[in-house]
Amino acid sequence: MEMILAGIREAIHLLISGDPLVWDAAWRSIWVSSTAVFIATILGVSIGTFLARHRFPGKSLVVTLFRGAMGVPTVLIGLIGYALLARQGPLGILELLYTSWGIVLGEVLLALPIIVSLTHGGIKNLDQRIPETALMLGARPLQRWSTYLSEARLAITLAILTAFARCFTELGIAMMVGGNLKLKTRTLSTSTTLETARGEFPRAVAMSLILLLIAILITVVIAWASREERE
Amino acid sequence: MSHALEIRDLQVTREGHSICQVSELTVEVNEWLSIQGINGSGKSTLLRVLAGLDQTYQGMVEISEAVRPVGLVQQNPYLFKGTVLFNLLYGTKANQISEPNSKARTIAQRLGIESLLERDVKHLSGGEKRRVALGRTLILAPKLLLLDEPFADMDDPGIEAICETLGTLEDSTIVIASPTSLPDKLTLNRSVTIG
Repeated sequence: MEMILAGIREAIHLLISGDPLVWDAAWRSIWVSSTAVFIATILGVSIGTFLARHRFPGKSLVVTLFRGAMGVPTVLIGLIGYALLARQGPLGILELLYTSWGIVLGEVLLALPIIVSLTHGGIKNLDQRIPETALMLGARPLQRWSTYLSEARLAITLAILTAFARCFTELGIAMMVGGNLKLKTRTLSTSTTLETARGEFPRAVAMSLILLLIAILITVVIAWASREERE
Repeated sequence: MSHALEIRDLQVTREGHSICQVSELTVEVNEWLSIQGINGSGKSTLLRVLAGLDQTYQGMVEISEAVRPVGLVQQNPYLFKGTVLFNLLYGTKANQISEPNSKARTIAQRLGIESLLERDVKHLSGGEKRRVALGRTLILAPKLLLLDEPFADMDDPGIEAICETLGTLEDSTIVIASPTSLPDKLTLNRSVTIG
């Protein structure tokens, strides 16, 4: 217990004093996760809306595949990302292995199924009168899509926050595709693992505190958004 | 007068049950007609068919080009999230309605909802919601107006406001579905019973 309390005291000191290793990992985690979720949101919301509003052969299979992909371990996605980005891999020419953009690519693969599946569910469960009313009022396809997104905005917000939380705390992709390189590709989760292994307990605690803080912040935003919607 | 719409041998079936049956019905342009019948007689289904929302039916349904666009205000209308004004203006851009803001205010005034324009629709009563739904359809100037129980749960000022607003629509064909007789203020050409 004493070790934990001492670790927390030292961690707070590191955070306040602006320890470069801690803050570099923190900013990289935020940047990588935000960029990946931004890209996944553009793709995922479009795909999710399309799946919810259109019929085509094999649609159920596509929806099932996206739902199933939500549970794929990050280490497996990291492995796929590594295979894609390795020099001999199909995307090796991009030279993204062991770079922050490589981690972004991997996290897009992680976030995409979450955003597609939750957006699809949110729009599919919308009141049937919404598309009918939009149609009767002469809304064109773009306005109808914008209406669906607006009416399902809580579900979509939750999808984005869930995807961000998953990307921000994941370890497998950042470790395998990023390589955990100091001041280059190190994120909070990979740094925490490394610092703990090296016995740098206070620094590991400091990074965990930031992870915890962001997780709490996301939970608060989700609770607030849900309450706003109910009211 | 020419035909606004013509129906012959219409039958709508869902899960093996007939939910709407009309052997023959013709409505003339600018005619105001009420369709009466008990609950479940198929009035709402008939309006949905006329509006083009239900396209799985047997028989013939013809709507003349002279009465397009068609506007439908459903029995339990859905208002989009946002303000009353947002809902009134919803279809104006796609339908290229000129001076939409001014028209929205005029219609809101007629319907007695001008003080609610900036109010979030989640804070409206059932009768107010119905008037907003009617307003956002009227702003698109439909030639054929289909109203499904527009006076249900409506207080006297609400009924009066709707009757007065409908009274200004001289160039429209109106079909009103209602399980009971309609207010005396509303002068209809004809009433038919289905079911």
